[in-house]
Amino acid sequence: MTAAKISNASGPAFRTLFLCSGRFPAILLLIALLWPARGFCDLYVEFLIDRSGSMWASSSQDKVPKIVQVAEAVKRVANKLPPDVAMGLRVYPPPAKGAAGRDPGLQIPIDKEKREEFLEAIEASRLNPRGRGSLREQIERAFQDFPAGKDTKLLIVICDGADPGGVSFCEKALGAARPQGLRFYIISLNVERPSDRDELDCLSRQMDGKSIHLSSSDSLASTLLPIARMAHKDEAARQRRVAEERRRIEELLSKTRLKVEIHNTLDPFFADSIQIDQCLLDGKEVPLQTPLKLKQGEGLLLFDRAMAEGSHQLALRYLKWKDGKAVPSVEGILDVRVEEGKTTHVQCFPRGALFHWEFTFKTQTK
Amino acid sequence: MLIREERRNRFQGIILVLILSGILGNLFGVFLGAVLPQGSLHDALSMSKAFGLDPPLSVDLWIVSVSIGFNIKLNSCGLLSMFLGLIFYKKA
Repeated sequence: MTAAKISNASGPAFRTLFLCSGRFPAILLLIALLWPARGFCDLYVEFLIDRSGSMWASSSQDKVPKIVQVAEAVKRVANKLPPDVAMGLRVYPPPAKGAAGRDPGLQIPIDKEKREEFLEAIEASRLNPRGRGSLREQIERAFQDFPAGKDTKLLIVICDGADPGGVSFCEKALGAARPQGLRFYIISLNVERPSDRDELDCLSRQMDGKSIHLSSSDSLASTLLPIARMAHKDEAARQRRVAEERRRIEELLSKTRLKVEIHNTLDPFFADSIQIDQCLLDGKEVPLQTPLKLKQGEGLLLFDRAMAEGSHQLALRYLKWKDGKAVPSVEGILDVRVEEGKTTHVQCFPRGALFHWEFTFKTQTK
Repeated sequence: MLIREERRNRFQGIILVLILSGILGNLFGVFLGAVLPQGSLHDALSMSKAFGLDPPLSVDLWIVSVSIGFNIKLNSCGLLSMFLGLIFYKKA
């Protein structure tokens, strides 16, 4: 905030500044518009993989075990997704020997920095399917793996059976609350039993997700990749929208301003000069750089600052100087309304009432 | 002769009335200035304006130098009082 005497901003220096300030934001805006395609995406992907003993069976004619197919497909997807995608891995049933104090089902927590660890953990030999476990319990635990916020979250369950954990997904809904922005997919491998398919469909409906039942001839990788790519694209678009909205709000806020000027219009018979004694905005003192005295006809820009939209109170007091004596005015109070995206321009003029000195205000909104 | 003397007396009377009423009016203006709160009325009544030769006019003729100066200081009460004094004097 500066208190400077109003003068005409003209001349080469002003023109140079004006031209520079016009080009520079345009270049910045161009960079900002081109930039967000990469590096601004907050996509969180977790694979919840069935490692029950039945995953050793093969679903295709080339006799490759399902767990190997899953490992290869997930690895391929992980390699094709950009490095800014955070990936995590959870399995069920969880390994019996988990690290102390840790959730054994969570093999790799969702993290952008742990892509290498993720790729190592997805090996079929490390997944080592055996036994049976509850999908319900692991889904509810998986909800806790995602960070809070509106970012896109993708939970992909890959299984070869329903494993509802004793209670049907169609009869009892999941207890835990879904994270905000979660997209849910169930990809079943060669599930033949209609009751299992129904269970998985019920679960996906509950989660507003999608269940995809692959047969032995379908490729898992070509199913997974479009899902992940679409989520990444949508998240990048969402980030762009958020950035644009933030920029729009910032621009709007920078245009939402309050500009206050004072002009001495008192006749020299009454005052040699006036001096601002106090300037309060919403009860807080506005510091003035120099205690300038204004002679008749002179003006002073008290402040020009970005303000929040709404009503604000401006309170001013001045000293009227005549023959070396100062007479304080009463406090001039103005309730001013600042509108969004507009500059409210307040001009203050000292005025003599019969028994006191006061202010009169003129307000303009542009 | 009598008429001329009467005119001269009348002129002297007017001057006297103007000076006296001016002094009284100025004093009243100062009094009001002390009594009234600060405002435009206070300033209008109590603030005085000075007229005259300031600095005095000086003429230097080598063997003699002459300085002529006068200053009249009036506030609005003094001016009003002089005006009223003149009216009363003319009617009396």
